[in-house]
Amino acid sequence: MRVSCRLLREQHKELVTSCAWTPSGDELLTSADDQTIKRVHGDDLTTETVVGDTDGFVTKMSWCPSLNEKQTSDTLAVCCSDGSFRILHGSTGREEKRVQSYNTGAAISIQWNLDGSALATGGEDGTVKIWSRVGMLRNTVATTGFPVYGLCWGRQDELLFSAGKMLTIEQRERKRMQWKAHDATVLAVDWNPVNNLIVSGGEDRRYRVWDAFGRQLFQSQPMEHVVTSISWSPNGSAFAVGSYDVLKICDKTGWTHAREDLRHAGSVLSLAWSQDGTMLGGACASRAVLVAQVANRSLEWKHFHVVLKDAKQIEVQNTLEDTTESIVFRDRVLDVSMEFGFLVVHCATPQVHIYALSNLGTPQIVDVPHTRSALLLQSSKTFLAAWTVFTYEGRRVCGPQALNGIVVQGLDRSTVALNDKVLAILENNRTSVRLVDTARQQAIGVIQHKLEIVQIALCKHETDMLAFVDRNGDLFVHCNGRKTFKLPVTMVQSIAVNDESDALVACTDGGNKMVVWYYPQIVWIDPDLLADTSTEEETPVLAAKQPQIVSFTETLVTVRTQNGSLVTSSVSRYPSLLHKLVAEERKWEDAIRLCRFVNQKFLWAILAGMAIKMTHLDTAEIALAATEHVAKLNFILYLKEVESEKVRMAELALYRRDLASAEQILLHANPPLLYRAIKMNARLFRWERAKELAARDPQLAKLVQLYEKRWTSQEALTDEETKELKAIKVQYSEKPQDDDDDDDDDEDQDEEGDKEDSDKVERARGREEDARGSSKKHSARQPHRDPGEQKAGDADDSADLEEEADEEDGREASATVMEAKS
Amino acid sequence: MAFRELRDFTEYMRVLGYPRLVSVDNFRTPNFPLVADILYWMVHKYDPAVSISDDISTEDCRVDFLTSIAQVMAVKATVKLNTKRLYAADGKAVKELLKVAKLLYAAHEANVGGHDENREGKGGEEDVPETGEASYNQLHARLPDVKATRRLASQITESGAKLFDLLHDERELSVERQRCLRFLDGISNNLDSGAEHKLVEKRLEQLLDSAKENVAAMEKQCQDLASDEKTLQVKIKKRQGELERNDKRLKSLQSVRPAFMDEYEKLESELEKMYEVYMEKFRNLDYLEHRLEQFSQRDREKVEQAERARKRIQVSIMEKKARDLRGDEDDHLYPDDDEHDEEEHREASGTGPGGSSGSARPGSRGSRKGMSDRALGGHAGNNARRSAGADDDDSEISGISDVSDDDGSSSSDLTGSLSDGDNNGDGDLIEDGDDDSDEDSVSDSDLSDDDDAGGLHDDDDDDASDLDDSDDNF
Repeated sequence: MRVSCRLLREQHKELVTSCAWTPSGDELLTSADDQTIKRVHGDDLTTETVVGDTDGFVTKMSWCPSLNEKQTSDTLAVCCSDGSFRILHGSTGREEKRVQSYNTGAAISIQWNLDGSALATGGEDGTVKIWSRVGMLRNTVATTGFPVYGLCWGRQDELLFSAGKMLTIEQRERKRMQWKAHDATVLAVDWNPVNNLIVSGGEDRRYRVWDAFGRQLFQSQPMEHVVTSISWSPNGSAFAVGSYDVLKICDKTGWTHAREDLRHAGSVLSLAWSQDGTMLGGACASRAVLVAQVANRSLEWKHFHVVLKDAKQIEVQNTLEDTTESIVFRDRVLDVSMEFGFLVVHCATPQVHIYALSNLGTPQIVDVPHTRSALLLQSSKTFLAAWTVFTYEGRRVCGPQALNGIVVQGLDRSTVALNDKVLAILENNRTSVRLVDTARQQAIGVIQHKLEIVQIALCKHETDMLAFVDRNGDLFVHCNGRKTFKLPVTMVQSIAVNDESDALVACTDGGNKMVVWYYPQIVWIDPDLLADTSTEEETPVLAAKQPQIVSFTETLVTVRTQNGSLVTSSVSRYPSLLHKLVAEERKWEDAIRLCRFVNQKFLWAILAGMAIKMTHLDTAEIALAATEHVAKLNFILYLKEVESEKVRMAELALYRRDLASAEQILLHANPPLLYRAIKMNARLFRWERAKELAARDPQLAKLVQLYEKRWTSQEALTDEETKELKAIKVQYSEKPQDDDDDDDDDEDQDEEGDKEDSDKVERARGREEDARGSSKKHSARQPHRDPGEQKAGDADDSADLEEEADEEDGREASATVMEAKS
Repeated sequence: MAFRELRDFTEYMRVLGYPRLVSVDNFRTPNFPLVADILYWMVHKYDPAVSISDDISTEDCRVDFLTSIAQVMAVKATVKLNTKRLYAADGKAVKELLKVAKLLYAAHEANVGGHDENREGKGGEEDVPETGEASYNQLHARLPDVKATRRLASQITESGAKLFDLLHDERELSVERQRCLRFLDGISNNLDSGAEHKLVEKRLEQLLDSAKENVAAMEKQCQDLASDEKTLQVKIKKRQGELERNDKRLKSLQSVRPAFMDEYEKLESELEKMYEVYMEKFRNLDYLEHRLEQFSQRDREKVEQAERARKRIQVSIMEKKARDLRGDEDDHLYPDDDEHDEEEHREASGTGPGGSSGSARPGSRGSRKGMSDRALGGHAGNNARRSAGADDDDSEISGISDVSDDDGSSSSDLTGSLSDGDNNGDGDLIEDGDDDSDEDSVSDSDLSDDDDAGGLHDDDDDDASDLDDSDDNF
């Protein structure tokens, strides 16, 4: 990324003090000590005088942000050296209001808040005041005793200002935060609402990047002269630093994209980015006005390389065939994106040009609504431009009305995600994510979270599965209708999903490790297998360098570190192959062959997860055998014997820890398997629910009561009670309409005594328990267990050990265990 | 303390290149050393020749410093500085400092603006990242200026020097001038009295006389010079005549060829021929001596061999006799032979070049030849056209030709001009050698151990081939 700068020297006769872009983003207003305010058109550099005589020396300007997308605001606030500030009509320069804000000294900084409802001014005497939109004093925030050179607003109307060496954040309803930012006076400060980062520059000749809590993320080397101005680009990806005769463009992590030498420009006293982030304006002390255009941005995807030559020209390079094509647009290019074989270019017209990379000659051109913040996102079949989802044929799929109620400013690639079916977008409270079904154009769910969410990512195949990182650096995966699951990693820096499979990669532990989960949805199938399906790699090169994952294409993970270097790492190719075989083609035999060929545990674990998810028990059996999960294998073998489809489904749901759906399956069967449902609940010690289900039938109620007594109370069952229990059991298990013969057959065999029966139940429970990782259930059940029960459990454990020893033919093993027990 | 002034001042100082960074906060509290330093620096920037003490250690010194600065600036730049404010060294001092800074900044701007004029004329804008070429062109365009400036500078120094010289005389001249003035005053004061007039007339007459004398002397000098010129002219003519004569004589001498020259050339060619003949003979003699030596060597060997054979026969006879005495017949015949072989082999390897086992074993001849062929391959390039039988001689020939070559080069060293004849002689000699060797090969082809007389490397080859033989045997 570079900027091509032009200096307009004849616009002003005196030192230029301040500049601001109009909200429409193509004109730059500049004020100077010759007491004029002038306007430059960004493209053709034609100039025009807005205010001939300002009656006072303007020190800073701020343009009121637009309240919504439709109407652009036309209000400009300027502060003057005589201590007053004025509110002007931007296009005509008519003065609407003049307020004498400071009696001693000049007003030296002024800034509208993000929604344009309040105005903050900073004075030379060190007071910071907040004014209403019409110029009424709301309150005096602080009296610092140092001139307030820098002032800006945060996302939630926090006010950041500099005074001396200190930076202060004044927050509503919270304590004021203050820290020493520089070794000398802070001259410039800016806070970006998108990435919530602060940059400051001072007379110690350094610029520093801070997060919203005042923690330093970056500190530059000292420059030759003091940093006089600093400004974030609107999308928060870069910031500009102005110094004496020098303009620097830096990445948000601090490393320098470009350094431009401005000859005889003097200090750059003020910097401003245009709304679309493609142009930069500056006020130079040597009477010059700086107009710069961002150029040489580049992207890569597989063997294609795209360079934004200048504002209107794109060069596409195919490195495989060594061909280069140049595309020239009529209007400025706002944003470019290239993924999935398509190049999408958002022009300022506003239009979107869609090029297939195989054929760059004939683009699809779509008119899009005018937006102030351009964001391009792509999925394999659709893309998002101007907050509208299109297909690559140019058909509009989903309009921006689905995002009703979300202010889209302040959203970037990390807070919006798109796949073929779903658009995920972070809501403005930053703690919830809205999922929108693009085909149906409606919201399908909102994920609520306790903390602020900093990054989200959508899986490509498991379409409604969302991964997100919160402020604490914890990584969660969420799927509609299922429990949000926290992945067992900490201090997550950045995440990304693969473009081919559902694999998820994360830089964790502050960059020390890179973890890849090849099949993250396994957390809803069997969380025990999660560890098996992931790989972990130590990445000392990324440690403490705030790595940001740029892309995860095919098997390559590209990470950008704090110093701007790209680090590439590769992951296994097989999971995506496996994914393709199973998820897209259902070739289980081929999948098994692939796993046998590779013979790695994580691949088998992935296959097991997929097979269990799709109820393909044969494959699951093979895969689990290969991963050496004996208990699970046993359970699968047991499931294979279950003949009733419903019961098997219910058992699988139980295996997935999905009690609700297991019960639903049983109750919704035709006829309802009430007895089974009750027994399941009893087995899980959910007595309330069991009683509820059994309420209609006194006999079942009695059964529940007896079970409860047997397993929770200290005293043993009396003989009558035992008999009664048996009788009820026999009655229900032999009922023809109950129709779950398979299990009843078993029970019939077990009907010799309640000891056997309890064993049987225990066994089933133990099995389940093992399959479930047991910890939670144990804790829930432990206090109620009687000593006999405990013994039975122990017996089960020992049986498990035996099973493990003889895992090869688990079925026989379990048979012998049964015999041993009886 | 005004925001704008501080900002402008820091900016001016940055542009002017003040070595320290001036912070906008520097003047919040009185900071006299900084103000003093800036003032001192600015005054020197304005006029480097100003001599002001920068001592600010005591109050008095400070006051002195400020007043002298203010004086200088008032005189040289007509800028009035408020020393009281400067002494306070706070925000208000900036206002005073700004007066000077602005002046300097304007000068700096004018300078930069002048440089940028060309480009600004085009459209008032410039691309900031200047290419090297552009700045080069700019420099180029300003090259004539440099020349003119340099010329002016030299003129200034010249006229300065002249002025200095003239002023040097001023002291004496002023006395004269005073006298003149007095005299003129005297005249004008009393025009009536004729004393001054007379004095003037007298002086004029004196001057006229001296002028006349001068003229006469000059005329005389001129006459002398004219006569000198005439005499010199005559001398020059004489010398020229001499030169021509000598030239003629030189030419006539050059055209004559000395009488003994023909004879000299004839003798020279004769000497060449003689030398050639001598060389030929000498070489042939040398060669023949060499051959003689070879023959005698061979004879000696034959005698030795015969002696050995005789001894062997003697031994065998003795043994036979002994066997006969013991009465054994055939049993020990073969072991005996083996012994022989071993003995021979030992002899061949032990005695070195002298021992020739080849003749005793014609069976191994072929392989041996092959070996020598190979060994000689690099030595004589023309091996291929020769028969296999002549191989051994070949080595000799090449040896000889080497010798002749050496001779040739030495002879050419000796008589550089006779190289043609030498070459011919060389060729003859080689042919001779060839002939000889052919004859030799014909006559000596039956002498199988001819090669023993070859060069050193031949011996080596023989050794090798002997070893080879023994290998074959085993």
